[in-house]
Amino acid sequence: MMTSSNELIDSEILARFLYDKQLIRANGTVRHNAFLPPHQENCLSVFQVNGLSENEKWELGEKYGRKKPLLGRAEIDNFSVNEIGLKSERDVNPPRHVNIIGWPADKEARRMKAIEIAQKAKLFLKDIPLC
Amino acid sequence: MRTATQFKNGNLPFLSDNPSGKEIELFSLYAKANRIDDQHISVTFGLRYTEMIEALITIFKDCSSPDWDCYGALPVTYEAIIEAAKIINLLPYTLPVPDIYAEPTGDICFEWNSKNGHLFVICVSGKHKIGYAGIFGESKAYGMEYFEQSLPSGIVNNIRRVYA
Repeated sequence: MMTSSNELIDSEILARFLYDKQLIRANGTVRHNAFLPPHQENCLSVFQVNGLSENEKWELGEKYGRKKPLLGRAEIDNFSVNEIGLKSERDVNPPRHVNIIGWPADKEARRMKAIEIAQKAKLFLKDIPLC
Repeated sequence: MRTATQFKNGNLPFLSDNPSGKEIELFSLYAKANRIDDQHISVTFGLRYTEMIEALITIFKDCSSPDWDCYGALPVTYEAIIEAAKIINLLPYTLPVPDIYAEPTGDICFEWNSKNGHLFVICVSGKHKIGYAGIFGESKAYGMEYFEQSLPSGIVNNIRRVYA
């Protein structure tokens, strides 16, 4: 099936980089709060990481990182994103950057979507103690 | 490890070794709101309280500034913390202790989950409303309930459903 250049195929892997321990459960899984878009915004910032080594993935999170140390990343495939009723859109600025869009306006409905993503996501931790 | 016995001795186990003014204020208001004193709290129930209130103190310390998640999160407000403390006080003792954490919305969430993949989350923001969302196998439920002096029965039923 043909896709436009901005659309992703099902097998593409999307990583949400995590910079706060509130987003990570003690049992090594990711909480839904890691996947909620900023207040009243309609896109969740992630990176497409297919073909990158483990080190390159961490470098990506640190390169476009924030004011806190990188703690981990949660990965989900694009098929699962679509299955939940959301959509991924490449914006390539910065390179590999993707927005997950299509969020409902209702706060509780957004929370439900975030829970569904988190349940399908896999968490990878950097070697940093969380507490 | 801190114990409720220490609390009964007046050592304020919810606070860090060098508590900030806001921490002390939070504890004072929490204690006043819930009329907690040495006679009121037992060791058994005190440990439950301690665990949950310590989670709230951590949230207050870590998430009361904007952008705490580095993606533009809203700060957790003092009103949300106090309402979360009220929820803690209203939780039936027969329910498991929830996982407590902040959301980028500024809400404070209580989560119950089980090994069978069932999960239920309730969130408060200090506006007398409980947002909720849950997954129970193939079923999903989400919505919002108003609350004042007691937990809505639908919320309690959904928490129990996680372990059914």
